[in-house]
Amino acid sequence: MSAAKLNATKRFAVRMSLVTGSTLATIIGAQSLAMLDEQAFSALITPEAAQVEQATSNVTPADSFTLQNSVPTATNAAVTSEATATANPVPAAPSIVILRRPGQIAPVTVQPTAAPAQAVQSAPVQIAPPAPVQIAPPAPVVVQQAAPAPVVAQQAAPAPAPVTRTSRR
Amino acid sequence: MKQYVISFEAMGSRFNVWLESEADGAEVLQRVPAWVEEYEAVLSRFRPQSELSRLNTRAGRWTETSAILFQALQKARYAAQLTNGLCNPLVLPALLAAGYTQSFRRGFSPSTPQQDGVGSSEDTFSAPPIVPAWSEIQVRRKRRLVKLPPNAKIDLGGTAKGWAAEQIAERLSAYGPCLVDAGGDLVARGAPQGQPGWTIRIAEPGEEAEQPPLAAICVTDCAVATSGVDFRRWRQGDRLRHHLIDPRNGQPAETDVLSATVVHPDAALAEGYAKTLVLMGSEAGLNWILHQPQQAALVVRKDRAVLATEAFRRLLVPLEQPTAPHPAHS
Repeated sequence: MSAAKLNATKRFAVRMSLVTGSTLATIIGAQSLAMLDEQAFSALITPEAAQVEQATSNVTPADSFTLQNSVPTATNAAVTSEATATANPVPAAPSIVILRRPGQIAPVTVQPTAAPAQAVQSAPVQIAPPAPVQIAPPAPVVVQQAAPAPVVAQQAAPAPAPVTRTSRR
Repeated sequence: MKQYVISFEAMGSRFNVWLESEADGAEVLQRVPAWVEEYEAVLSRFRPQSELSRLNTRAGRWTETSAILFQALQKARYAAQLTNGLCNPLVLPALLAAGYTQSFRRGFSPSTPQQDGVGSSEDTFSAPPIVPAWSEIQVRRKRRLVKLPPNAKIDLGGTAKGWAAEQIAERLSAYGPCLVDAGGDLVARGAPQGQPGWTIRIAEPGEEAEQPPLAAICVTDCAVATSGVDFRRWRQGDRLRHHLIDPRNGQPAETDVLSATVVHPDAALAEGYAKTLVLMGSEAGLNWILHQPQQAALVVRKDRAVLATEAFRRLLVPLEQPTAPHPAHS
């Protein structure tokens, strides 16, 4: 009986060593092949490509941030773009637009955009300048008016249209 | 859905408030003047009994403040921080020294400092007063305590009107889309029925009446503020003065900008940025605002050139043909 056990044990040990050995050989062989491939690839890299690879590996987040925030300086001469009657909005880096040249007094003109979603009904009446501060202010006036229909000219509303201006206080 | 509008005088300005509502918009809008008065009673430096005026008498000492004053002051400090101190609420002594001692109204010409009210002779200086850094204002949030630097006084005119308009708009937005115009500083919430936003005209700067507007923009859920040197100006001796004090030298700013308009989600910041653009000048100001998260700004220079950021240009909409002004406002 013990002889049979030894034989079984021997057989198991032999099998284990064979499996282990072959596995190790496979791993070591694969590594060797990979090293050979890398050496061959390195021989193909040109000097310029090596410099680019070196430069990009040195870029820090701060450098990228600085680059992204490089914006043109607005000067009289450094006009980045000018609104024209036919200009279409073009996504671009932040920039300054000249809407009116020095010495001109005409209002800024803008063509309606093509997209229906952009169509906007402007205020229907020209704004009268606000009255100066009154000594005896009138009682508040509340006026009910129908909501203006889109893209249709309205009659004069019983109240001023919204205007932004320097405060008269 | 019906649209209602109310017009009244407050904070030395003309207020116009629009509201679209299914509910009784007239009844809701009737409350707005009282809301504005609530803010003005606290924040006006032209009222000796206002909480702000009383705080100004306690410089150097801790003072407990109301929620309104504390919030408005915090907003002013925030605007000062984001504008690198150019929108500084501690400019009041400099304003008084420059002659701006009373609220502007027809017939008032602040050529010399006044002897009564908040512009007393003790507030005049032979040299421009030094404006303390905004960061010297100390606050303790838990009890809303405020301590001004010694001998300092604050003026919230640079941010308070926009902030008040924003509070009003927030209250009204519960009833429907609304637009609050606080003397030229506007806050929009929602949009009129069937439209992508509220159309707001930009006035041509200057004192002349009946000028056609410069341009128009369409906005929603944001504030539009305009600051400039085209109206509140006067002569002090042989010098032309205006109300926008440069805190770096305590003097009315030397600038090539006539007016600046800014669109921003925050009303106080819209006001602060507009003032900063004027103080910095067109070139430096526009370059500065291009580095801010919100960049929609338009500048009118004294030579009448109009410059704008691309973000602002995208908001422009066509101007309609002018019509006769409404008799109610002639």
